[in-house]
Amino acid sequence: MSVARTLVRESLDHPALLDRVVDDADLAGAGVNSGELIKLALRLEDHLGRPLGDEELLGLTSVNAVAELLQNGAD
Amino acid sequence: MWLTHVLRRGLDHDPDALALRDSRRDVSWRQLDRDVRALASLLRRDATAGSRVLVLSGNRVEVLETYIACAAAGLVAVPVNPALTDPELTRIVDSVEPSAAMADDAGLARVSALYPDLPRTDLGSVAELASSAEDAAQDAAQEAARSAASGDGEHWGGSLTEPVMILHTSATTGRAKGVVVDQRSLQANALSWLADVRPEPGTPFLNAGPLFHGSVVIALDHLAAAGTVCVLDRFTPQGALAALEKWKIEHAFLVPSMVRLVLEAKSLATTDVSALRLLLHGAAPMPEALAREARDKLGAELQTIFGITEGGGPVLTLRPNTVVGEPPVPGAVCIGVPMLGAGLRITDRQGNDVAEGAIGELHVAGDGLMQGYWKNTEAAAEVLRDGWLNTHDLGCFDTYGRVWVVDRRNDLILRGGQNVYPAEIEHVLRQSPHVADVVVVPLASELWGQTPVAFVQPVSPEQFDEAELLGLCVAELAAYKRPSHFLPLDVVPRNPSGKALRAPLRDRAHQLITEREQTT
Repeated sequence: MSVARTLVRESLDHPALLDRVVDDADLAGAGVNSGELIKLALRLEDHLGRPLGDEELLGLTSVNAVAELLQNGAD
Repeated sequence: MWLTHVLRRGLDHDPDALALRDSRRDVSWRQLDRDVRALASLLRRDATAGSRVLVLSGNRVEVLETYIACAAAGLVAVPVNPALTDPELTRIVDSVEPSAAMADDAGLARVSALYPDLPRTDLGSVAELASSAEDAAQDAAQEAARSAASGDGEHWGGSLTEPVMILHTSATTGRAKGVVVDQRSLQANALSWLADVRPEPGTPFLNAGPLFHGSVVIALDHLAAAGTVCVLDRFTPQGALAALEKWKIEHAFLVPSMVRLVLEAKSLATTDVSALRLLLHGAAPMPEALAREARDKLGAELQTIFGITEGGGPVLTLRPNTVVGEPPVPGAVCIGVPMLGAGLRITDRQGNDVAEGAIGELHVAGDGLMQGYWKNTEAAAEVLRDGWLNTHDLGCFDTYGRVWVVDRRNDLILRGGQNVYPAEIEHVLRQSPHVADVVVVPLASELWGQTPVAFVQPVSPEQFDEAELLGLCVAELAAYKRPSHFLPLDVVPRNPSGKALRAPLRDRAHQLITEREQTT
């Protein structure tokens, strides 16, 4: 499993939800709630070792978007 | 008349001072007055007094403007959580039969798909609407202004006892209940707030919660103080911290989960939160260790608020720096004393007042109480009796007359400040042909306070299908109501009258999830 997918999975109250979500699907539309998205953002901050900016936070909409942030977002 | 009075007072105090702000707009009291008049005129055009106006939107200043415009025009605003699924949304809309909808882009798309004939207006167009209304009908605007100055027009402002909002709550029956709020309730709450929280004119207040929620009255309370209500589009810890710094926020209301997340955000270390003087918290118990950490890291005083939507919002408060000592019952949380104008009784099951230290049910009274539930007199009669509202919270008085909450009598689950009733989830899961019985109980969560856990008794053991249960919940329930775990059960334990025995299942959920976490 990709790092992005693992980070998303670890942020979910019910990790099995991610089994239903393909990488380019909208996370909120697939049933991921706002609290889980917040947890994901905090996990990403820990992973990257820096705060996320507004645009980065707004862009966390899919597993692919998380992967892109991980790829391009490290300082 | 209450909300238009608030508007009038703000205008009189300083028309150029900020009333509202969000990431898109700063709205002065003068602009707020223009927007409200334009909106009220638009909404009243095709509606009769008392008609409902659906409000389907994320947070933005125009949502608050719509509430005030509805009050001014004698209409009833019905805000709905945009996270609800289509089945949840349509049940509410079909019940309130709105004459119009005010919505953001996403809401407009849903309204046009689900209710193509319902007149709808883009909340993003309000400022433009006010501007063109002013250009096209300056005479009428001047007349309206004269009318307002001379004591207001025939319909302007509505009466104190007219419904002004219907706020929907999760329900014991499995269907949302609409709490009918009148202007007297908003007035009573604002006067309590001014006395017990004491915002001042111009005090910047951060509204981080959703504006469809019962806590929206707190934003209206700050407007009553001629304060500035700063609206977050949606809560994120990073966004809240940025707002605290950028808008020099002095008062904020957060639920404990939000406080914990703010304290965990990396940007806290580099954010200037020195303007923050008072952090109000409510909707769930605040752990003492978290309160201490918040005081240390945010440098603000903390004030506890205990409220209930059916009671008109906040009804009890524990002022900052009140030393309360040890709880009279292990695990109890102090929620202070009734706010100005609110009454409180703690009674036994027979309705008799209990002695100090004895545990009973909390009942509240005052002008803030709801008128009832929309089209549901039976449910209202179950909680309202002789002017007292049964909150179903269990608590006791200490020797100083302060109130401590111990537990809840009904099955409400408080997940990150949002109410979830097990019946709503159980109703959805029973739709599966593979489910023979189901019981949902709360599981303690360090971050969210509680999450729902579903115990499912399948028709036969091999028919327990977690993926199917999850799919049903995703399709039928807003995401925050989705159980965090589905657990198979041979037989749901019930007492002789058929009532599910939830207490042992709570313990079993805790045990099973702890074991599961230890093995992963």
